Amino acid sequence: MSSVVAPGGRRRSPLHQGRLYQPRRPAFWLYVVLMLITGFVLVGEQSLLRQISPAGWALSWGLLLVYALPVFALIYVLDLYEREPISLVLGALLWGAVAATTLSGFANNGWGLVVARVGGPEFAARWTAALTAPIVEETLKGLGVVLICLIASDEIDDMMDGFVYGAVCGLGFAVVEDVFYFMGVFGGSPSGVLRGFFVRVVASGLYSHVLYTGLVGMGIGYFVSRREYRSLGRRVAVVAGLSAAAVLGHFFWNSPLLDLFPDSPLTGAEWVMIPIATAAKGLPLLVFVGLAVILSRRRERRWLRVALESEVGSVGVSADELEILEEPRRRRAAVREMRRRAGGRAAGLLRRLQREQVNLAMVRSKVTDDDPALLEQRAYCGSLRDALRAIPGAAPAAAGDR
Amino acid sequence: MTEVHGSPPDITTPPTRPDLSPGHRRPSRGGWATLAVFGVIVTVVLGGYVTAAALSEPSGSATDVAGMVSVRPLAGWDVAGRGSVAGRPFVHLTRGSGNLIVVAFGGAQGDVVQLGRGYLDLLSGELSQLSVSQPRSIQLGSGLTGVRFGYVGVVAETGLSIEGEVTVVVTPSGDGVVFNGWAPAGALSFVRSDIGSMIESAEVDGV
Repeated sequence: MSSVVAPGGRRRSPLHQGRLYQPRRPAFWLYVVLMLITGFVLVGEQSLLRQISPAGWALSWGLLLVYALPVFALIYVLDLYEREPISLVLGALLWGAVAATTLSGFANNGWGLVVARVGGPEFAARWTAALTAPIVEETLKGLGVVLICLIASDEIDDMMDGFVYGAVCGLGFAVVEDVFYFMGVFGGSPSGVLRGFFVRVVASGLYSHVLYTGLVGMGIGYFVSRREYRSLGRRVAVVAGLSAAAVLGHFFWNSPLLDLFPDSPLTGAEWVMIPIATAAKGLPLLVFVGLAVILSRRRERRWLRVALESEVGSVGVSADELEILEEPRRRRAAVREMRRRAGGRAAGLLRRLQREQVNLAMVRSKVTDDDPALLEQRAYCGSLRDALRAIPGAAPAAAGDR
Repeated sequence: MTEVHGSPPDITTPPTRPDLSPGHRRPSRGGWATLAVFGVIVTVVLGGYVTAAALSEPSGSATDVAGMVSVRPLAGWDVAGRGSVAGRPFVHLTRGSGNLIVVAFGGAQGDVVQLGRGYLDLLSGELSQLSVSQPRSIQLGSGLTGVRFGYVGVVAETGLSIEGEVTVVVTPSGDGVVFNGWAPAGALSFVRSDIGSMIESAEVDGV
C-alpha cells in the first residue's frame, strides 16, 4: 500500500520568501538592531512599573493577554485566502510592542518639548497628545510594516496583507501602552488596573491602534502590490490618504474635541458614559476601517476568480472547486463535511488542496502560461486531489468536485 | 491508494515575470530603502529634541522663592503656583508633563542628609507606595554641594504614578533648598535635561 499523505507542514508558494530571518536583507539587520536596543529600554521601563506594584503589573499583563490573543487570531484569519507567515506576523507584533512603543516614547517627548516651547505649558497640557502622538506613532508603527515589506518583499500581495501586518503591529503597541497606562495613570494597584482595563480595553478596545495601523498597513499593501498596475502617483496618493485618515482618527481620539468623558472619580451612572464617550470618538473610524476591510476582501475574492478562471478545467482546479474556494464559509463547510465522511486525514488533505489552489492563483497571476512553476503547481494540485480520492469515503464528494 | 507526486516543486528562485527580459537586473535587496527608513526613524525620534534645543532659551524673569533661591524657567516652562508646605514656601514650575518644585528651608536645618530625610517625610505623606533610591553626592555649577535621590510613588489623591528626583543643598549659612523634579512614571527621562538645566542655573542666596 503506497502512502497517500505527503509530508506534513505548510508549503509556501515558490514566489514567496515567507520568513522573518533574511540575513541578506539590510532591512532585517536594521530590524534586529533596533529591536535589541529598544528591548533593553523596554525591559528597564517594565522593571520600573513592576516596582510600583508587582501584583498590579502582573494583573495588567494577564488581562491584556486575554484581550490580545483573540484579537490577534481575528486579525490573522481576516486574510481570506493566503494566511501570512507566522514569523513575519509575529515580527510585526513585536515591532509594535517593543520598538514602536519605545521609540515613540522618546519621540513624543521630544516633539512635546517643541509644543511646550511654542505654545506654552497650558496649551501643551491640552494639545500635546493630539499634536505629537498621531504623527509620531503612526509613522513609527508604519515603518515597522515597511521593514517587514523590505525583509520579505514578495509577501505583501494585497491590501489585506498590509492590513494584517499593520493591525498586529498596532495590537502589540496597544498592549504595551495599556500596561503603561494601567500602572502609570490608573495607579497600578489591582483595583486601578481593573478600572484602567474597563476604560482602555472594554470601552475603547475597538477603536485603538489596531485600526490606525491597520489603515496605514492597507496603504502600504496597496503601494507595494500594485506596482505593475497603478502609477507611482496614484499609489503614493492612496498610501498618503489612508495614513492621513489614520493620523486624523488618532488626532481626534487624543484631542480635547468632543470630550464626553466624565470627570474622575467616576460614580454610578458615570461609568456608563465611558463607552458612549469612546464611541463618539472612535466609532466613525471603526466604520470606515470596517468598510475598507469589506471592500478589500471583495477585491481579493474577485482577484481569486480572475486568477483561476483560466485554470478551470485544467488539472489544477475544477469549476465546482472554484465556487467553493471563493467562499471561506463554504471552504470550511466542505472540510467539515469531508471530516465527517472520510475522517481527519481526508479533511486535512482537502484543506491542503484548497491552500495549494490559492497558491496556484498566486503563481497564475505572476507568470506566463508555460512557466514551469505554473505547470508544477497544477500537477501538484492534481496529485493532491488524486490522493484525496484514494481515501475511502472521500471519493464521492471529490468526484463531484470535478 | 494514490501517492502525492513527490514533494512540492522545488523552486528556490522566483520564475521570470513576463514583463522582464531574461537578462534583467538582479532584484534589489532594498539597501537604499532601508537607509531611507533609518533616516526617517532618526528624524522622527531625534527631530523634536533638536528643534526644542534650538528654541530652548530661558524665558521670562527669574522666579524667586522667599529671597533664598531664584530659578529661571526655560522656554515652555511656567509658574503653576506658589504656596507653602509644612510652613516652607515653594514655587511649582511646570511644562505640562514635567514639573519642578523648589522649596526654601530658611534657618538652620542641619546637613543635607537631615534635610533630605525631612523632605522625604513630607513626600511620604502625599505619595503611597513610595520607593526611594540611595542618595548620591552632587555638586552644582555654583560649587554648592548636596545630595540627590530618586523615587517612585503614587499620588494618593489622583492615583497617578510618578517618578522624581530630589536635589537637596544647604548653603554655608545654613539655609536649605530642595528641588523636586518629577513627571508621570516613565516620562522623567524626557524632562530631566530641562530640570537639570534649571537647577544648575538656579541662584542660591549666600553662594
